[in-house]
Amino acid sequence: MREAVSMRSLQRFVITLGLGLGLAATVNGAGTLTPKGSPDQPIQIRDHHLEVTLNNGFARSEVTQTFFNPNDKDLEAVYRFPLPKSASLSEVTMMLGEREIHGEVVEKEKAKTIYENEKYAGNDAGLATKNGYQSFDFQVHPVRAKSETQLRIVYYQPLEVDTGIGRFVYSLEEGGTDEVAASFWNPVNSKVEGAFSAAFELKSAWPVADVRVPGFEKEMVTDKLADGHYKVRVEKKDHSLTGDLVFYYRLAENLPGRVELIPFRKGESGPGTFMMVVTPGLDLKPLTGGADYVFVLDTSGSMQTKLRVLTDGVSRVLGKMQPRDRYRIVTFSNSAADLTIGWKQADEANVQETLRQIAGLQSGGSTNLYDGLTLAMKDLDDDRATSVILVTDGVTNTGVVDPVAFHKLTKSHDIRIFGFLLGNSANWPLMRTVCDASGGFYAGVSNADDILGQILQAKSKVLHECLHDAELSISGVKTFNTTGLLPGKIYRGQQLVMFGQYEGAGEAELVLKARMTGEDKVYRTKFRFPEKDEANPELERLWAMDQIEQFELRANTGVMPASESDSAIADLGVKYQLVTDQTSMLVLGDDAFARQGVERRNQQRVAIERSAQATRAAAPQPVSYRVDTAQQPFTPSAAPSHSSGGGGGAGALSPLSAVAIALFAALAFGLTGRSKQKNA
Amino acid sequence: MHTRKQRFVVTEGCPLLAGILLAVSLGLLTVAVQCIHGLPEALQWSRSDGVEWTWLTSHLCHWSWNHLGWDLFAFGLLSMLCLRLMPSRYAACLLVSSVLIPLEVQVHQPLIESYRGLSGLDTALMGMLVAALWRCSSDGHSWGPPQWLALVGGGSFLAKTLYELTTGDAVFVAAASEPFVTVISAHQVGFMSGFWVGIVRMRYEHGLECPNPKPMVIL
Repeated sequence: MREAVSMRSLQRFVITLGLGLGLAATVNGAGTLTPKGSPDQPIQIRDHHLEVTLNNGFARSEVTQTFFNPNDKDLEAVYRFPLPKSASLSEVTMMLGEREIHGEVVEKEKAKTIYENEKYAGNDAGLATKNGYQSFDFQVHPVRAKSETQLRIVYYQPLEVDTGIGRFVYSLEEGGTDEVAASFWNPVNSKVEGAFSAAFELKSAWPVADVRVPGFEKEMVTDKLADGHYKVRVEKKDHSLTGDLVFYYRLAENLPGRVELIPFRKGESGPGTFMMVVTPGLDLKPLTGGADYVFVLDTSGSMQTKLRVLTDGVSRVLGKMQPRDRYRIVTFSNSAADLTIGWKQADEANVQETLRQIAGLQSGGSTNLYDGLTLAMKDLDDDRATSVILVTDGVTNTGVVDPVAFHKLTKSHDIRIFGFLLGNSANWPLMRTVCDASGGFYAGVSNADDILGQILQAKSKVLHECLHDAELSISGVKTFNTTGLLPGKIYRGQQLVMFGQYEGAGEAELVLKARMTGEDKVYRTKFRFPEKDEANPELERLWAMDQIEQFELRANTGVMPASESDSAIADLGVKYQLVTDQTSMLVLGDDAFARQGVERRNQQRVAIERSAQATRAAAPQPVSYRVDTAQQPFTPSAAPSHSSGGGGGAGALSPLSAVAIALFAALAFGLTGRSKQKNA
Repeated sequence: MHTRKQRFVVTEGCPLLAGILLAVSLGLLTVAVQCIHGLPEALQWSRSDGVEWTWLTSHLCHWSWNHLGWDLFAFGLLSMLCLRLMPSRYAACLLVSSVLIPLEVQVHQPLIESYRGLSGLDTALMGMLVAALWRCSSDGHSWGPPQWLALVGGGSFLAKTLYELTTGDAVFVAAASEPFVTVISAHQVGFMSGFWVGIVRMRYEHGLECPNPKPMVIL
């Protein structure tokens, strides 16, 4: 693919897109749900506190929320919030006055039965379930009349740094695509009556240049404790849980390419778990020349408030294309339509005509993404690189909806698909299937994002060379159940995050093989898998969550039967205590767990994790997990981590060199002094 | 005819005091820059900024306190010795090397986007110290222990440079555990510029006499 759209035009597109998203009229969010027509007053959210620790390549989020039942009778509260991507929900605690009850993960059906039994018996109970890829639902019973009940949840997510920018999203905004649910649950009470607060603690082994929480600039209190250690706090009164909270951190410029290994192993027996983060320091050059672009735009009903803005954004991009580029506009709702009727050369006359056409677009109907993509892949020119830019906010609910069919469709054409998912309800598992199969990527875009920055990062990837046929391998130590070793394409600024298990300890070699503009590239480094490292027990859950996503992907692409995948996911969910589509977290008192015969696996796991977290919190410095210091695979001069594209730094003196200088200086001092004394 | 005290004030005292003031100021500035959030980013030399005055300020910026600590330690030691042996050339050494180092990076290191740190100036002072030792008279002879030490210092640096040029790996740097790329040539240019400033003979000079170990006593 070649450079076709100027940076400025893409910026305008993105700004306009972002403004439009921000202006979307109907915004729902996380909150307690009250069925439509219920005579009861909605359960209030008294306060909402978020504590996030970003450390060692993953984030730990702890949400504490107090409900208040203003009615004269006990009620069940149902609280829903959008599911953060790749989140492993691992703790749910209910605080009922002085008493705390905790959660244990069991099979979904079993959990539901036990919850219902306990509820009808009048006992305190809670249930956390995963609603597909869209949300976590928490049922709490009872919220006593005129009383408060506190709910605390903890979940973990791996962190990704793109072109030196780390991003954490606290998802609250509902995507507005589930009309059936919206018509049943109405109104959703998302308002926090009391205090809303969010506290972020960032501990990075690499220096951090800046942190940012868009939209909370006035409320944000930042405390820089060290180069890589920040504490950021925001507080608000009468806040509504209708908007996402995005925390950005920008690493210092020109960090070297690097390999980081975060291990966890209890002892010499049993397998260890690891998370490996590879940040290639590769200088990928911009692409030049003409190319073909297909804009595939969702015009379904849920896009109503965003369509005008979306089309305006596309207009601005078209207006800035190079005459040597070609484009097509495909729209889809119930079915797909080729707005431009074939390829158009991006000259002035064609662009003006297309601008008039897209100005007349109307939204409505359902979402037939398959039809849209099928049409986009027609009449491709083998001699020209083609990219599909897909913008959608929802789920595919008409026509072909089977992910296996999407996978086959994508694989049958030589194109790259770049998906931009607006809001928190978009079907990201399907988008992952489609984009991964094409060698493209997908990016979630929140209303709270710095949309410009998000798409500039994406633009940088689309308009630069990428590494092809990338393949990682680890030798020397036996590794298994690994994911992420075959990234295929590596885009500019992209960080590779891999999970796996290992057996035994010792010296291992990591080799990254890839092709860049027809040339084979091999990068290698040696490092050591430790016999014992108990600092990060949460890695087991993150690894298990990654495995679960892989099973889902295999089922989606038809590689594995769904029944087999479901069974494997249920096993992992129970073993590692994760809420999945096959497992739920049941919150009961100790006596109820004993009565129901539920093993307290999560209690043990949480105790270990909390102990490790206390140790880490007490450590003055963030631990560096860089393992390629002895043999750096990415040469310093080609190790960009930011968009600048170059390495950089200083000579730098080590303690050893400083001692050598001190010795030399002492000798010089002694010799020159003695000489003079003799002279005198 | 100047008295000994007058001669010291004119030829050594003023440059020495000015040098001490300069060294202390630079040391304090580096610490201040590191303390102020965002200032290292603003004052570093950056290729994309295209601002020439950052050639001078980039040496005051550091990537981390660890980076600053060792650089400053060496700077203090070397400054003390250079001010003792060649106070009149101390400022010139810093000025020449502070310009030449970023210039070299700009011209010959196209993949390096930015530069920070005192270590380049440290090696410049090291170069001047070697030159000063080489020129130092000892017992009225032109060859003696200072020259041997100069040979050891210069030879070590030459060996380091040859090793780095051959292998591409940096010697005596902490960059492997630090968040920046090692610019090997910064040391080479720094050393050479410092050595050149120290070794060049001015017309009025007849040699360099090793100073008294307690020069301030003369005042």
